[in-house]
Amino acid sequence: MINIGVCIKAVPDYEVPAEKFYLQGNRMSGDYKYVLGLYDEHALEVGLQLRSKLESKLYAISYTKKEYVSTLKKALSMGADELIIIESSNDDPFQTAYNLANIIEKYNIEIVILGRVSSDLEREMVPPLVAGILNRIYLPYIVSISSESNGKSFLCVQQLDNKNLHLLIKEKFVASITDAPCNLPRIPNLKEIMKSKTKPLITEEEINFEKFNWAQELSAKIPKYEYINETLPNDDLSFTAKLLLENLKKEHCL
Amino acid sequence: MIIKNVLIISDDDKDRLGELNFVAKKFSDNIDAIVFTNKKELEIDVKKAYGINNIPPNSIETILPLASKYDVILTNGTVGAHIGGILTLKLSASCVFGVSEIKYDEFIFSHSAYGDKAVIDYKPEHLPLVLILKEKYFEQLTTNQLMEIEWLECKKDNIEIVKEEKIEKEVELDKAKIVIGGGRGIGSKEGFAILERIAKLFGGVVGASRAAVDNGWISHQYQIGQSGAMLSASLYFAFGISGATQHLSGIKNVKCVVAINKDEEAPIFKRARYNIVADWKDFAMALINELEETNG
Repeated sequence: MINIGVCIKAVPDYEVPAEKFYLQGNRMSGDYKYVLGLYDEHALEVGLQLRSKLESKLYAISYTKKEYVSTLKKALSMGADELIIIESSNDDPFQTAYNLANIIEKYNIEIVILGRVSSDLEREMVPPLVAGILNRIYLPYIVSISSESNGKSFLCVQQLDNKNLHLLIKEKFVASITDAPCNLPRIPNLKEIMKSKTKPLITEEEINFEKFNWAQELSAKIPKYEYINETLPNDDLSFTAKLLLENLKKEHCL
Repeated sequence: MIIKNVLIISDDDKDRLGELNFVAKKFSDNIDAIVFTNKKELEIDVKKAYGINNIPPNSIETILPLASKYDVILTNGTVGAHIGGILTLKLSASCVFGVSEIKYDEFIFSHSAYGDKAVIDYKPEHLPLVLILKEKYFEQLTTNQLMEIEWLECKKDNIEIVKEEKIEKEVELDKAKIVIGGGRGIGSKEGFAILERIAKLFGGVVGASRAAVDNGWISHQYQIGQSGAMLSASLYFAFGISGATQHLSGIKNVKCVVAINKDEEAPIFKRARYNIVADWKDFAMALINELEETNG
C-alpha cells in the first residue's frame, strides 16, 4: 500500500474583480468567498488518477485557518480518502513547509503532490521547501504521474517550455502540478459528495519550528495603474471600427 | 550589504539569461554562471560560464559546493523552480521568490501576489541571498560576448529521462505583437473562427481566457493569464472577456488594450485604452469589413 499526500489550500475566488479587494495589514481582505486552490484541484486530480491505478490511500493535507475547513472538504468529495488539517493562521512559507513535512513523515507518505502556486501567495516556495526539508527530489511542472512496476518506480511527465520530459524515478519524491487538459479536475458527483460525509477529518497540532530568517516582510500595497480610457461611440459600428483603426495607427499600435 | 560576487543559474534561453545578466550587473561585475545547456558557447557577459548537460534535479549535489562561494544567487524560470528552495535550505540563505521589482539602493525586493493585485516588499537581512526572478519583469542585457563553457559533471543520475517529446506550439502568445482574445462571451468554437479571421487580417494570433478554454472552445495552448501565457503584445483585443483578475495579470504588459463587451460594468474596461460597449460579434464583423476594405 502506497500513501499519496496532496497538499491543499483555500484561496480567494479567482473570479472576484480586483476592486473587491483591500489590504488589511499586509494581506488581502474583502467581500469574497474562498475556494479550493485551482492548482490544488489539478494536484488532487493527478493524485486521484494515480490512486485509481495503484493500491494506495490518498490523504489531502492542509495547513490552514479553521474557517476554511468546510471549503477544503471538497477534496473529500472529489475522492480523497482522508483530510488532515493543521490549524494555523500563520502563512510563513517555512512554517507551512515544516508543518506539512512533519505530517508527511508522520503518516509515512511516499508520494507528495502540491499545486504549483496557490498554496503560498504565488511565491512557489512551499513545494520546493517541503522537498528540501524531507531531503527528497523535487519535480515542478508535472502534469501526470503513473506507477511503474506496481509502485516500485514512477513515471512523471514534466511540461517545460517547448518539450515534455518523461522522467523515471525510483525513490520518494515531491512534485508540484501545473494545469493541463489531462489533469482537468473532476467535478464531484452526488454519490461522492454523500460518501465524503463519512470520511475521516483529522486535526493535527501545529508545531512552531525555529524561525527561518529568509527576509523581513516590510509592507504591501495595491499598485495603482493609471490607464487613459476612452469609450468609442457605438451607434454605428462601421464608424467605430474605422475610428479605432485610425487611433491605433496614430498611437503606433499597428 | 557588500556583495562581492553573483552566480547566475539558468537554462540557455536567451531572454531568461539576458534578464538575469541585467540584474546581476546591478549588484556586481564579478559574475559567474551555471547554465543547463548542450551548446558550446553562450552569449553572456560573465567572468566564467559553467555548463551542465543534464537536468536540474540530477545536478543539486554538483551545484551546491559551487553556489556556496557566492553572495547572491540569481535564477528564474523552470531552473529556478527546481533549485531555488533546496539551495535556500542547504545554504541557510535568505531568499525572495517571484521577484517582480528591485530597489537596488535600498536592497528591497518586491513580489507580486494575489494575481498581481498586490505587491509585497521584502528586505533580506543576510547573505547569501537566493533570488528567483519573475520572467519578463526585467530588462535584458544584450551582449555579443561569447563565453566558452567549462563543463561540470553530475555524479549520479537520480532520475532517468526515458523520453523527450518536443511540443509543437501552434502559437507563441508571449512573443506575439498583436493578440485577438476571446472569452466566455464568445460562446462557441465557431465564434473563435471569427476571431481567427481578425487575427489573420492583423497579422496577429488568437488567444483566450480560461473560461473559453475550460468550455472546450479552444485549446489550452491559447490560454492567457496567471495559468496561461503572459503577453508582451503592443495591441490586445479582448472580445467578450469580463476581465477576471487572473486574466488581467496575463495582459499586464500589453501596451494597448481594446475591450469589446456588452456589459458596460465589465472590469476589463478599467484596464483598456479603448472601450466599445457592443455585442462582440457585431463589432467583430464591422472590424473585418473595415480591415478587408483597408487591405484591399
